[in-house]
Amino acid sequence: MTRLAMQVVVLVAVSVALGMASNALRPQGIDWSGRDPERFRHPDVEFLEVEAAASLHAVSTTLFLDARAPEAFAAGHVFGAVSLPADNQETAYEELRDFLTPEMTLVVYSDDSMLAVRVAKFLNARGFKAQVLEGGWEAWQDRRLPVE
Amino acid sequence: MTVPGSQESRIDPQASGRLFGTGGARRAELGRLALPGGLRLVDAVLLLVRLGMAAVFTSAALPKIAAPDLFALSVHNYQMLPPWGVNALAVLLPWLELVIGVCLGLGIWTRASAAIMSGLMVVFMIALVSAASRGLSISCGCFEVGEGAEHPSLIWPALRDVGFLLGAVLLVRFGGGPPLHSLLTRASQKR
Repeated sequence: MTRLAMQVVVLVAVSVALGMASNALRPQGIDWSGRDPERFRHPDVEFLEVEAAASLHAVSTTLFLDARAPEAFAAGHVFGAVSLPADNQETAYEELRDFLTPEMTLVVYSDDSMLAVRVAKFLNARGFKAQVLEGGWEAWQDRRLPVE
Repeated sequence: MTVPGSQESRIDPQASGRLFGTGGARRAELGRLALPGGLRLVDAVLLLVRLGMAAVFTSAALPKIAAPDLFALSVHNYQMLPPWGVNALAVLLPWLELVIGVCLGLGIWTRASAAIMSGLMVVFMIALVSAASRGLSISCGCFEVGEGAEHPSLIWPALRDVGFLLGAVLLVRFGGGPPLHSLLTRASQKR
């Protein structure tokens, strides 16, 4: 039994070493710090670190857009954010378009980065400059940044 | 009759009786049955299971190693791990699958490889059932990753993993039959 356990440990250790080495040698290796995998899938969408987003939050030309469902938005959101649910983005956009200008910096966030990416792409295709908040709502809350 | 180098396979007649069903000397005789070429029937069965599992795990690992970013997305879609856990798993799991696949293929540390495989199968089944119960429409990420991966019901991969788990438990309990080098030795001796 001890021998079996030792062999299991060795096999796992060898696998970990191979995985880390291959990732280090790969030009486009995965970032171990926990970057959202959605960014690998959508290199055309710009992702924004929470710290950078927090700096932008105080700038008047920045607007945070919440891509979650309206119920989640009502339960709590980034201070000053506006709801633009991904599941209903066309309708929500029609209501918002008069307030949006191409000069604005739009920061889209969600619980699921796939939703935020969908909204960001939708807005970028219409001439806006939308970025996705990496880590989304959870990361914003974790850093105790302004919410309402 | 024993096969040189088959010390990993420790099936005695009684054990083979347990392997193929409950009790009885008649069933225990299966453990002593020899195929043409001198390979015991139970060893041949274990060898087939072992090589089958090796092929499954190796073929599952290669596409993920080739595209860890896409595999990370598959793992991410299960919504069960934090981002750092997703990335770490996406980088390390395929290599673990490859290492134990190769070990099973060669017949090296078969029981340890099968033990890891058993653990992985349990984890995979939990993830699949959890995702299915939450109504997620995602690809399994088992053998294919990326945009081309299909989105079938997650229950089928879970049931398939039950079969793989049974195979892995079989290998842990009884070993994997003769290792590759002993088969090669036997073949060269026959010539």
